[in-house]
Amino acid sequence: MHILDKKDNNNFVFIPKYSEKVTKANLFGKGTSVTFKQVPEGLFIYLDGIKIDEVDTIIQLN
Amino acid sequence: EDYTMLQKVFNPTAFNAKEWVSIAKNAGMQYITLITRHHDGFSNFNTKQSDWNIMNTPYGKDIVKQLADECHKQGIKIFFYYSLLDWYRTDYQWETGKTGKKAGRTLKSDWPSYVKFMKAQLTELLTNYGEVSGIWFDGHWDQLDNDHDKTLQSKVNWHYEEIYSLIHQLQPACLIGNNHHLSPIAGEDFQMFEKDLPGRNTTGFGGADISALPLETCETMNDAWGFNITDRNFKSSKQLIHYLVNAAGRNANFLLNVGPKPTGMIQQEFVDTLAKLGDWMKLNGKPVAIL
Repeated sequence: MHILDKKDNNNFVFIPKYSEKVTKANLFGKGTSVTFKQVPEGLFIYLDGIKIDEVDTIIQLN
Repeated sequence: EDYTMLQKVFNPTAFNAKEWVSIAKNAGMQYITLITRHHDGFSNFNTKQSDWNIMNTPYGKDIVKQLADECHKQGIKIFFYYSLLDWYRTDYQWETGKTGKKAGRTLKSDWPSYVKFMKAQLTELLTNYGEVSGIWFDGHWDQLDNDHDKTLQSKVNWHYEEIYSLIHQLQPACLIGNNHHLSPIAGEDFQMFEKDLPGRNTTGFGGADISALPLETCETMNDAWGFNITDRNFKSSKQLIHYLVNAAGRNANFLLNVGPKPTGMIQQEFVDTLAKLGDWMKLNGKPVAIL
């Protein structure tokens, strides 16, 4: 998942209808663990403690 | 008449194939699509089919050969861009073409002759330059009344079946793409979108359905396809990275256009931006590599 241009101040990103099972989420290139929560409606990715890159923040979902 | 005078002065002595390929490779590019012949009909290679080619300039050398050889040497794939439409030749059906009306042609066209010319040139390109990973056709839209109505029929028979068959016979692994702005035609191997991500239509000539074929989108580094000294509307490395990520997210390759200077060099603004893209690709390229 690429965060290119985060306009809001929310500490999370929500991917609606994301149904593939996620077991792990990491900041790509750094390996930092990223908190997430999967619900029937989609996937929450929580960004607390995650430095948002001005160009592209890549979260690897496994 | 005015344009053909350029043949007497065209002399890109600063062209350096090693430099070009290195710039592309360092930017994270995996293939180069080189103009072999554009709409002006001028061939950048040693063709026996027409005198309107680079060998008959002060430069006098085959840049397609130089670049193809260097690509093979550096392990980057080469595709050949080839224009279907022609603003120079009188056998091209210029009477019904949307463009090239002011080229000064008066002789009646001879379509079978033009098709024969294209097939002969494609044979040269696919037999004299080693492995060619793809042919990128452009110009089909010239023989349509407009680009918006995707049901319109072309005013000429492009003989795609025999042309595509010829290409695949000469080099079976050579991929064929056609910038006709339509859904793919039988025999094509990838679908391309010009200046739009797949599914979008900001240009007005997009809007073709997305097929199941591999996809590609192309875009310019400023506004122009060719070198334009007054075009300072450069896209930032951030904009281009975002375009790349959006293309990859839609399973499309991103073909980034670089219009070289008349000297043969690539302008410094492009070199600098490509270097920044390369730095980003070294760290983050894996998630967006598709080829």
